[in-house]
Amino acid sequence: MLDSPSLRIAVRRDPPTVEDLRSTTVTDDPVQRRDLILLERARGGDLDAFNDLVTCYQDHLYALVVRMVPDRDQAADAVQEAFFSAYRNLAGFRGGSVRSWLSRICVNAAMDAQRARKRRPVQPYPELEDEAWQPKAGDDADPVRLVLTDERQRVLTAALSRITPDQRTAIVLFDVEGYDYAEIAAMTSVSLGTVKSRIHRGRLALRGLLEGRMDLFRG
Amino acid sequence: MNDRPPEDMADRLHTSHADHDLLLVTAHATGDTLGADAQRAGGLVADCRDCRALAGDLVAIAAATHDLPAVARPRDFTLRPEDAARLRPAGWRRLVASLGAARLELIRPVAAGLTTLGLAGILLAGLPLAGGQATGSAAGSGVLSAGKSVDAGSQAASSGGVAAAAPAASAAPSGGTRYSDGGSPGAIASPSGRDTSSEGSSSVGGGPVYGTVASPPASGSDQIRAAAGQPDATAVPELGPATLDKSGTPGVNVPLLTVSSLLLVAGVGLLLLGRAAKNAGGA
Repeated sequence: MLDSPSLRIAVRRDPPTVEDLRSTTVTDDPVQRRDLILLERARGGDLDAFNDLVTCYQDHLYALVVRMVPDRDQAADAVQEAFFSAYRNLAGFRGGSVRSWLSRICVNAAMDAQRARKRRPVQPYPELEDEAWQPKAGDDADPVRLVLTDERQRVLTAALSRITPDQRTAIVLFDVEGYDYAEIAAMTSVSLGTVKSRIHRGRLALRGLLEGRMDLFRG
Repeated sequence: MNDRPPEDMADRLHTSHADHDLLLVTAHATGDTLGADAQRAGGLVADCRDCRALAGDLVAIAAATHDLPAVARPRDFTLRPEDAARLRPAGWRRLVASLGAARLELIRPVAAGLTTLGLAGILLAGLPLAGGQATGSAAGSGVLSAGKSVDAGSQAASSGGVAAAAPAASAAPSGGTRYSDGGSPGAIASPSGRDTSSEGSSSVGGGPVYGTVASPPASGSDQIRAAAGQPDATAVPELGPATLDKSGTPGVNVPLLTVSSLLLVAGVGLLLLGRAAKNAGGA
């Protein structure tokens, strides 16, 4: 973790003074500490510090949003809008994890994009056919297995795009991103029980949609 | 004791899979069941082949979802200086942004409290007026007027009038009608048929209101003047058009109304400000 490229971006700057951290909670987690330092500098008007945060989290946040908003252009717009919103609302950060804060803003932006998509339907998910997923398997991978994996991912992504946005959001945050129920509840502003219900119903709906292709998933 | 149900029960469970609680099985496969639910779900998975297959499929789907690869980011999302300049809040937005999300937590209850106080105050201040417009039907305001009118009645008696305290009090409940607006004929009566407060002046409350029959013992306007703290209860009335008093809002507690209105405006303003700050934050 300490030799990650994102951390190098942070440590190339001067160390912060004590005053820089006055409005944040200093933690032992180096990543969180780095994030808080960058955020504090961004609050002070340092655009480079904010862009360092963007660099650290844009891959993760785009991967999150593109699962919720399967149209990639709309997903990219939602992520951009989320970063705009985060910059505009730097003063609104109330401590805690910067990553969670940014994720929450992105989830809100993604849900807005989904609502907009519902109002103005476009060509349904043309990007699902494109093969630009990453990372690709190495050269030593078994070709048959590679094809099966690709096919499984394709049908699963297609099925994910057909369940309700709320269920999709909950499943992506839980299964793909690994957030726990409480974090998802906070991010989506619903109760813990609602999060569980959405995940259960979403999984059941996925199973119904994948019923004829379950051979891809078994063993 | 055998934990498994008898063979026929297992068959029944299997044949009635459509009736099984699939959400319970899903929750069980996710690890979200406890106690009796866990036992029930475990029984379904153990005894129903379809439920067992469902649970296995759900676990496989969850694993496959977890393994979905990340998607390549199509562009860089870093902000340019012109974006930053555009996004930096200015004017009133800067003020709103300075409130910060932390202060919003404080603003909401304060705003709600002020709004509630304002509404309650306005209702309280308006009660006598409401009683008056209800043509004596508001017993509470009538009682209030009756209580206050005793003094007025005794004043009228001491000034040589024929009104006594008892009739004055009995007239009080209907005294409210005397303060209805100008459109209500016969609303205002005075012992001699004229309200002295209207002498030489035009109606403040929306035009002259003509009294009906002058009934000397009633002394209604005197009672209400007394209740409103007007000093001319002993003035000699004349017959003629009667009007509302100079405030135009007889029976209304004007200071309370003013303060309540200010509280209401402040509360609503704070609520709107909080909403604007939240929207400006976008998070």
